[in-house]
Amino acid sequence: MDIGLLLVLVHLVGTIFGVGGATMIEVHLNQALKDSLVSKDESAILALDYKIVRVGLILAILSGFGFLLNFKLEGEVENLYSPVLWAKLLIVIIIAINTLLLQARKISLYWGASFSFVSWWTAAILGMLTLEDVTVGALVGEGFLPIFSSIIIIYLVAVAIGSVVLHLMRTKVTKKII
Amino acid sequence: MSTLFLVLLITHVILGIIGLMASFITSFMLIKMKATKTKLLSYSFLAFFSYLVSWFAGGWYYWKYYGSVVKPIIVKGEYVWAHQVFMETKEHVFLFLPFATLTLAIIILFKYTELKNNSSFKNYVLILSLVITLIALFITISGILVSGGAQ
Repeated sequence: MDIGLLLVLVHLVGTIFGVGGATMIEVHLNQALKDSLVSKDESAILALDYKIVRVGLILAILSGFGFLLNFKLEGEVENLYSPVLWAKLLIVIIIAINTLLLQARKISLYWGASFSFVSWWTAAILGMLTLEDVTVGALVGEGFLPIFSSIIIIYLVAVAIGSVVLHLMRTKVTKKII
Repeated sequence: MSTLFLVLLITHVILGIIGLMASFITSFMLIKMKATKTKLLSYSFLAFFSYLVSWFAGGWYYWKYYGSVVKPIIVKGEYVWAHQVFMETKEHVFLFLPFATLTLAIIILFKYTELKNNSSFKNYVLILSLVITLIALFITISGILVSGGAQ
């Protein structure tokens, strides 16, 4: 099997686990918090969701660096200065910092959940857009800084909107549906 | 690039990343100190051995290949800073990693009970673990910048 194809497959599986896990954390957290009490069963399900996200993160990071190594070995080193790649790297670093802050309870659930949920979805969408060669370059101009900063600004706005939407779901919608 | 240098480069990158992830997991587990001694030791020693092997693989690659083949390309190109700033920093800061990680692993090995019971001691050890993770992250980012600079 071609190493490039293998890396794509592993990266996809990692992303599916990550995005799926992050989504399920939100769903299960909403369900668990509707009576303001997390039971043992609910806690066990959430622990499983966190495990899936961690497996996804490890697979995505290892295959991601496999891509970078492949670029280097294939002589396509200009790809290592792609603004989309650096935006994705920054988002992965934010996911990691957010995980530490949540573990230390130094970030509220309001922001922590939003950073986790939106970061995973943004990284996945960026990956899909890169495959189709879609960037914001046509709108903001070519060059590293305009594209990189536009992606990060859009991402931060999405985190802010995501925090409000997730909070509304937790406080209003979930209580009616579930 | 010969097979030897190819293997050295792949080993350097993959084990460096495994070391970074192991350091991150060690920091994560130190925050709440709920993990068992075996688990904490496994990840801290995994980080140490990964950095050590990555260190030797990267060092050999740098000594025998990078200096004569890659560096001249970077220095002649438009990304001179990739070598002058990031590689120069990376090659010095990298020296600390295995020693700092071994220190952390030894602390966990001999002071696990104190880590569990003394929160201020645990916080100092956590800071050491976070610094190791940050250095490893910086070196990883520098590695990408240096590799991309050889255009």
